[in-house]
Amino acid sequence: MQRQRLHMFLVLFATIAAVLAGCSGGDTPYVWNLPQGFPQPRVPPDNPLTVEKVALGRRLFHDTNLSANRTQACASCHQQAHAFAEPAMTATGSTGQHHRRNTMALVNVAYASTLTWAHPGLTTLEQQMLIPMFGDQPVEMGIGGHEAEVLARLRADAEYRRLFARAFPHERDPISLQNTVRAIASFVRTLISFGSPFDRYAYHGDDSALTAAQVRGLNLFMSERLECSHCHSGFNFSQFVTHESTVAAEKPFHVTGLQYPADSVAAIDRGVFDVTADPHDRDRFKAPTLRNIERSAPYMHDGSLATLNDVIDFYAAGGRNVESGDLRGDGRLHPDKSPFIRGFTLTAEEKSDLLAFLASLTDEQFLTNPDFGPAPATRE
Amino acid sequence: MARNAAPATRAPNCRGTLAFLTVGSIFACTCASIAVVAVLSGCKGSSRQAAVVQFALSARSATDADTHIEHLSFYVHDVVLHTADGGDVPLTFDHTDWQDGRVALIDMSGAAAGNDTVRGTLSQAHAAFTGVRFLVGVPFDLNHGDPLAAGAPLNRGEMFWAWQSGYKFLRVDLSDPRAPWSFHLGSTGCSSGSAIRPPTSPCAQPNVVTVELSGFDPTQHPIQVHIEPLTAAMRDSNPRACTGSYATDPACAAGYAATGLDVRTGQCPGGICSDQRLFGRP
Repeated sequence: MQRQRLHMFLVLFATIAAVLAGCSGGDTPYVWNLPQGFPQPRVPPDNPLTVEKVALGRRLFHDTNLSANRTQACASCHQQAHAFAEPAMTATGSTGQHHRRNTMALVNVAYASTLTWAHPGLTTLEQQMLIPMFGDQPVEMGIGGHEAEVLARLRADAEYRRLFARAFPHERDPISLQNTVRAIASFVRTLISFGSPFDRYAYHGDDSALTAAQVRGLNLFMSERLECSHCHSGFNFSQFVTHESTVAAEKPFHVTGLQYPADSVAAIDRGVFDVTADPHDRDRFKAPTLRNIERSAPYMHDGSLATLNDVIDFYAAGGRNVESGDLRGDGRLHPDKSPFIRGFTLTAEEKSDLLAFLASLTDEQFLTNPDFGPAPATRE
Repeated sequence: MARNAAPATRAPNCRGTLAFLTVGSIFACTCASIAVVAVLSGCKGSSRQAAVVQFALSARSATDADTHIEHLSFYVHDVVLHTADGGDVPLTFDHTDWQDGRVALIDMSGAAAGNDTVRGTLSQAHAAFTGVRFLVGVPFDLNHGDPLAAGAPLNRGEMFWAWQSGYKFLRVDLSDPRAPWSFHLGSTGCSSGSAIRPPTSPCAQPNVVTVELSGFDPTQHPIQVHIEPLTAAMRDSNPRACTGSYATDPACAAGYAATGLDVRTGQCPGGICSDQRLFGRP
């Protein structure tokens, strides 16, 4: 009895101590907002997810002071209303240089086994983020060569001094680029979307969440006739998923038939081949998640398809024949094209059903969640 | 202009002698005389010498009014000086803002805050040298760590090559309203077993340039850096950028030829890039 009382006292004491520690900043574990039964994403062991890091990362993500010339934040291209993508064919960096690829949406990227459109080796946000921060082909944030300047801005800001100290309480000089990356990666991991009508239908058993047309579209999506779900599979509608229960993450990149240019045209983005030099990797790209896909137009790695209607037409045709320019060539005849892209025919009603299903993957709460937007102004 | 800033300090390094004497005293007196002889000979043989190897942009590389070198920098490691009698003397790098014990960054981008010298110590003093061998690149075991956790000279964001998980070994960017170009060289095809592990096997293409130069004393006269072979190579390339993407290899072939590397393997044929034209004697 006596022992039990002591035990209770100790637990109470520990709780109070933990709460107090939490108040002064520290290592408050972040609690994932996942539907019941969903696996937790993997988090790099050297960057455990904490409430404090997420709070810091949120402010950094939305801050133009992170780009060398103070014109761009991560959020400038990764816009919440567009599922953290942007309504532009391809991205433009802080100095006006053009990226050759379409801005990827940031939806459930905590589960992504590889990052960017076509790179088998980029497996953590901490690695990937160095590209927009320091890359020069093209310049995006343009921090390379301006590291001291950017850090000085952060150090001069009282709110950042407070947020970095809370996020990295065991470090004497916590304001560093390494910690900046850790914090932004932490925030981006929390961009979780499981609140779409499809989720209510699929995972909460709510039959009324989808319309009859959306259910018909869902069945078409999953059908052997259309084969969409071979590549856009699983709860993220992407094969590129890893989490605490997966053993080995799949990294299948696919040729969709979007392009089949002559190998002598060096100016063309050849996807995974650019990284691996394997001839069979030419024109292979990642099948991205389809969650919130309706809001992240335009589509494909080069943003060349403006609407989901165009995307369905493209897959129905089994690829694309480009008749002029550098991309000239018949993508439908690409020797490494995915065997699941064979083309199909849809009636007008079926197509509208399929579009209705894709719209059911839109999670309005995710697109408007104030926790993902800019941090409120500080009291100072 | 050779900057022989390192007066050949032949101060004999006899730090080893004390240790030797201490050890010697433990032994019987009969051993002591042997120890002293050893100390004397050791002292003579270990005369060290500070040395500086300098790089200079060649006159031929001068740009005209319209062109401007936006960036010209490269990493250097494993510098070995050659002596007249056929000997090789490795240069042990000092620790400075531009070099750690193994790798140095040469930055000739034109800014006042650049660096054109490698500073170090030679294990043996010599009056003169007749040539030099050096590697342009970052040693494999240093090339794939977290660049944000690295110290100088591997902490320069302009040289990060994040999409290739390493550093650019050589970066040349030329602005020219008619034909601007970029040439970035570094290891490509590097893959690691997991996100938090560096690659365990060498990259598909190491792209480390082994340079061998002779016929001059590199501690007295600067190594000439020529960018005009690259300018000529890149002028006719499409795109005018050779920045590590395999798709651009056809366009890169001429640029690679200037480095002496085989564009298909990223290796120096025969171990030394004897056809390279980027570095030369004065």
